Amino acid sequence: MSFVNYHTKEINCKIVYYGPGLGGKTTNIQHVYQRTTAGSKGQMVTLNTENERTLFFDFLPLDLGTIRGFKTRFHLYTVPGQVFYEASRKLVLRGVDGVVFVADSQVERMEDNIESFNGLKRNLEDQGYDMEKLPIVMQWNKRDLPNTISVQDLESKLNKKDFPSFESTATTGEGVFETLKMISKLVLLNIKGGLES
Amino acid sequence: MNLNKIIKHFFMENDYHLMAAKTAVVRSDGIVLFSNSNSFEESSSIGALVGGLWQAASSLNSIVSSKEKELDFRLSFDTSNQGIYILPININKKEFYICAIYSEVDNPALLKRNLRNLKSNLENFLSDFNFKKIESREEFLFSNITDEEMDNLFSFSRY
Repeated sequence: MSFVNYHTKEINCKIVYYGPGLGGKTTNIQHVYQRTTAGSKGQMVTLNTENERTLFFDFLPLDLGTIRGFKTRFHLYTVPGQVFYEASRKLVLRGVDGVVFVADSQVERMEDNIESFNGLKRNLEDQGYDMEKLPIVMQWNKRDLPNTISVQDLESKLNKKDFPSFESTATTGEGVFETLKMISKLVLLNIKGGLES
Repeated sequence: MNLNKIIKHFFMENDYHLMAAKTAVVRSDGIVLFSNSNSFEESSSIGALVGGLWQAASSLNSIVSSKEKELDFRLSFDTSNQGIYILPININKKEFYICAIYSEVDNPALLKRNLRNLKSNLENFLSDFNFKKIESREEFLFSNITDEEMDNLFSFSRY
């Protein structure tokens, strides 16, 4: 849940990158880390397995600028994508303010995308979230690969609720900041509180 | 005075911030309310890791016990002279965590006891404050945000 401190004029928000294993969630965050100036980012924390797969979460704190007098801080997390880490995914989703669903565009990964998206839906519902009200952005990643499914098919199979979506190639950074910017905007617009007079 | 300032005042007034190499008070979602680290990077990492660590430990415990806990848990990860000690702390009916990360300590048991005392003292100290009930606000903080404002917000990036 976002944390608005009216005294220090600070907003803290949590964004979780969710999606199937090897879909590019960590690569998204790594790109943000690499392309962010030193004063605006914190240390990137990764809890990995021996073979560099996410074990619990990746974490990157971003100290953004000020919007209407409020200093904004975004905490970016990824979940582990591998199927057997369901318990960890549930934990990372606690207190989430916005989700980026990173889908793997390769044809052979479609079933994994669907399974992961259904898992997201189930885990959010278990924690009392309403998917209709939570900011969610879809990212169609790995668009540079030759065996990709069409964006139209991805939209029809994964994006029935018509969430904003972006094509991306996280390895080169294409679409990464566009996605982050959109989810950040939706999260900020979703914060309830009202400006104090 | 807001909660962050009150807690900071409490720590500074009693030199509690010197009790371990790193001391922090963290919300359950990893947001830091107080840390004796001067680095934003470091305190953010401490917050995320302490929150995650506690949640993971609670989930592990729920595998063997679904009963309502009768006593507060304590989370300890240590050798005979260094480690981490985390305690839950109840502030305004919400659970937070107070943590000490220490190294080269001759008497870790004493440090742990001090942290438990600190937790009690902080709870008592905060109970004297009459926190206003935060009314749930239904209106949105921002009614609209322009693309220009978002561009400004992301001016830190070199993409």
